[in-house]
Amino acid sequence: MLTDIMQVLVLGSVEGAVYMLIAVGYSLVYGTGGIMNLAHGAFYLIAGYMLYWYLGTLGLFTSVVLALIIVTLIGGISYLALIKPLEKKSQLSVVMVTFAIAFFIEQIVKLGCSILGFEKESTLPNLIEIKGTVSFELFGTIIPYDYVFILIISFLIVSLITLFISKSKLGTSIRAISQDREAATLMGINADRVLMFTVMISAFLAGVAAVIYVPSYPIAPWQGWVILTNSFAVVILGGMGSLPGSVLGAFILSYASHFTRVFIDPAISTLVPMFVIVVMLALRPQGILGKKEID
Amino acid sequence: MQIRFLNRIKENSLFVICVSVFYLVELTYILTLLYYFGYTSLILSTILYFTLFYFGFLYLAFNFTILWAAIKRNFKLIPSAIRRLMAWLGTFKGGLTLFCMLIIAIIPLLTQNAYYLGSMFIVAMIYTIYAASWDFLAGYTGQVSFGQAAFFGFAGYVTADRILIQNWPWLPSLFFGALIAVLISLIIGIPTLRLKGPYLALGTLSFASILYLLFAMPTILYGSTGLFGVPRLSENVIIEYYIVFIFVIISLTIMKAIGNSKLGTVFKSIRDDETGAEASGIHTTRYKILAFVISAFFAGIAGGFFTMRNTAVSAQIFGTTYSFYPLVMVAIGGIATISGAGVGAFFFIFLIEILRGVADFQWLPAGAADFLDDALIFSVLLILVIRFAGAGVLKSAIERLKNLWDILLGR
Amino acid sequence: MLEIRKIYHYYGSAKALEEVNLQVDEKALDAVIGPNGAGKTTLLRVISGLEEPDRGKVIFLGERIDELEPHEIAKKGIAHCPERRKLFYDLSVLENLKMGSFALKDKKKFKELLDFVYETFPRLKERKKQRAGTLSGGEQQMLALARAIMSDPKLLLLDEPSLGLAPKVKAQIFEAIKKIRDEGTTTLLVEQDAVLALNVADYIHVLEEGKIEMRGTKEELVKEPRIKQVYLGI
Repeated sequence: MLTDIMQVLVLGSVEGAVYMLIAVGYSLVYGTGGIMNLAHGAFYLIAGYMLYWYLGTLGLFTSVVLALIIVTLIGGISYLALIKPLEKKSQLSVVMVTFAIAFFIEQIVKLGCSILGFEKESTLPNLIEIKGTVSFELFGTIIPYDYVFILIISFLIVSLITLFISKSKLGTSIRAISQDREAATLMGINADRVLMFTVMISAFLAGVAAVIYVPSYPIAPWQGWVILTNSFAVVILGGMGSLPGSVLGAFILSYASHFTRVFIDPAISTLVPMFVIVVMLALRPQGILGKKEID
Repeated sequence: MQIRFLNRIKENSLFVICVSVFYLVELTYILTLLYYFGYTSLILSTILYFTLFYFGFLYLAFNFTILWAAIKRNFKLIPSAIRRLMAWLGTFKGGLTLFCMLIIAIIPLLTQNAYYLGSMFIVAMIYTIYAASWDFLAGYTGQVSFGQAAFFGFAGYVTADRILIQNWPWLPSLFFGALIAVLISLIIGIPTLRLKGPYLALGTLSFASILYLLFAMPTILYGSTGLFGVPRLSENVIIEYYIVFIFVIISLTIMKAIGNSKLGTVFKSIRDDETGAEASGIHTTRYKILAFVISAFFAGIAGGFFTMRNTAVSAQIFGTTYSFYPLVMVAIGGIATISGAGVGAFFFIFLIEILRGVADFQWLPAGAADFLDDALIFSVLLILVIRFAGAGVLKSAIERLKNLWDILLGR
Repeated sequence: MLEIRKIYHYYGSAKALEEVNLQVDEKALDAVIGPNGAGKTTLLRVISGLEEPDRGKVIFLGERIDELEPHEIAKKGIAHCPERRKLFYDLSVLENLKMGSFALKDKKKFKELLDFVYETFPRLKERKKQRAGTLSGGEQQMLALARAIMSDPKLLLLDEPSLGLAPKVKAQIFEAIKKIRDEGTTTLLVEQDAVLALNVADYIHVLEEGKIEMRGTKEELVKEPRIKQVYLGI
């Protein structure tokens, strides 16, 4: 019983922290530009695979940095080359193109695996080792040091991002654009440029989530879509475009799915995100903390 | 006056017959090539085939136009429904459609090769229904479903279950599967379509990826291997071919007819200006749900046929790949056209065949075959089409050719 | 300073502006008056780049600006205080003002402008930490005006600053507008309330159904019987 509860708490917190990183980025882009970015899960995917491919040859530090730089650039390029030109046409084509980007990245990952000679689905070794061990024991539950690392890094990064958005000039202009894009351009703010930065920040956050989580969780090319689905559920639960909402939603969803997995049934746990999406959209589409009018 | 028309009819009938015979010979030649030499001649023959598609039948359609126009003038006693049908067939699009249908109808007479008929043409026809179901929703109401595979796959599973486990005949199983797809679409549609914005996109995508996880679980829902050993529609591939063919024509006609009816006008007004449609008293949510349900129904029909064709169904069917296919086909054929879905689906299947043919070549540098993965190429194609040609590639090409004909006809 | 040459603008097939010519001199306060739907707001939106004119030129300080993006035009020194204020409601008053001076690089100038704004609108100073959405209507209009002048503009475009305000607050706002003019900022004011506009402006343009019908100083216009009848109700 105790170990079951511990399992829910530990795995729930770790996964919650990861989803927090992913959903904060997703929510940021949606809140600022109204862009429903379906390639967000793919950003996670590509960063995770970069680490997987280069960990053996380049070492931990270099491969992490490389993965983050590349994923951030991919975010910027996909905004500049594809999203921005279509934004003026219709929202529909933006959503479609992000879907196509996501699908493309999934294929690139598969292609990369077959060219570089890697298995498509795999698990990575633990990254953190203290005194020759990779885990410690707490109330009869074995906890890898990686988990602690995940919690620390994700909270650190989310605090930094929050601070950046509330205090810096670029952060304030992000908030200004999210409230009134037209008025913001009248102030001399280049909205396209700021949006490019937000997409890059969100890609970076997805990348961070990937590099810290991939060693604890098997990777597979289809996982981008699962990540995307879960971040939908998180932002709908917390409120579209609300950063505190994303943090809250991430943990609620994560605890809920681990609770059902351990105490009820793994199959039902798979359905939790869908259940959350359907119920929240039916009852409270603006989410728990969202105040943005959705009609 | 009369004599001139009769002369024109005579002239044109002769011409049409001559040209038709010529193309039939060409087609037989190409299919014989395909039959005896397989992949190596495939590229050449496919290029020829597409040349035929592009220019050949446009040429024929042109002559049909004149022929029909002449007949119409002289036989005024035909009942109005038939007259309207003939009038439509006399238009550029009508002639083109008729010609495509004829081509597809005579293919089994030219080749009895089970691979070409079964794995290419039947699959292409099933994809036609599937892509048209997506186009019906996206093209007419402006709502995008990124999880069309949820209906396709679910109906596939249900149909297989009915046939295999409950021993139902295939026709009720097919409709039962489509009905279940409709029920599922209501569960997703009602909460998401009440809201404006791309919530349906989000709901459908999530739903499909969750179904993928659920059906891949080893212990529940037929396990990770899925269902297999589903009997085909018929032992005889030609009979199967014609059954699917009839369903394609019925499905496309229904969808097209709805699109052209008053209901279709309502759908299009929602697509163009949802707030405006609401202001003029249209209950937009109800109509969006209706369109979604119709779309799910046809996706379900396609899914049932697909399962029977493959004789098996597994969780893979819920993968994003199958949600992605209709987008590509419609993007190629042109959105909001319904018939464009057919062009897209056939193009899609042929391109896959060409890619396979190319990948088999000996002289390809090592590793190059990996790049010929069809999903990879289609995703690039889709990105390019959305970015540079929003209306679809073939649609604008056909429109341009139509303008050319109009100029030639002096309209 | 600002010159508009033969501007045409259509929304779909509906015409909003038709052959509009307009010139604003340095340090002048010009007003455009006219009934609802005459195209006044469209005119300002064309100047600040929010709408691209279908034909015609907008020339600012000898340079064509009608093909530039709105944020580039803002950086050239045109501040547009839009209709219905369009504040950043979730940002604090101070943050709104900071956003107003987004294009301003000079820190010292920012300080000066902030002092000027606080002196003109003491209420804003009291509420600088408050969210803009919590201010009253009059205060919001003050903030919108203040935000526009925070960029130290060469040309200030004001769209219906009196809209929906009580007479007393209206007077306060127009006092401030006069003060800004006296500081030497060129201003183009769009106003439905003709009496107010006539009292404050140096030169008035009358826009009706997308066309400039009349123009002149207050003294000239007051003599016109049509102006008397339609706009002044005498």
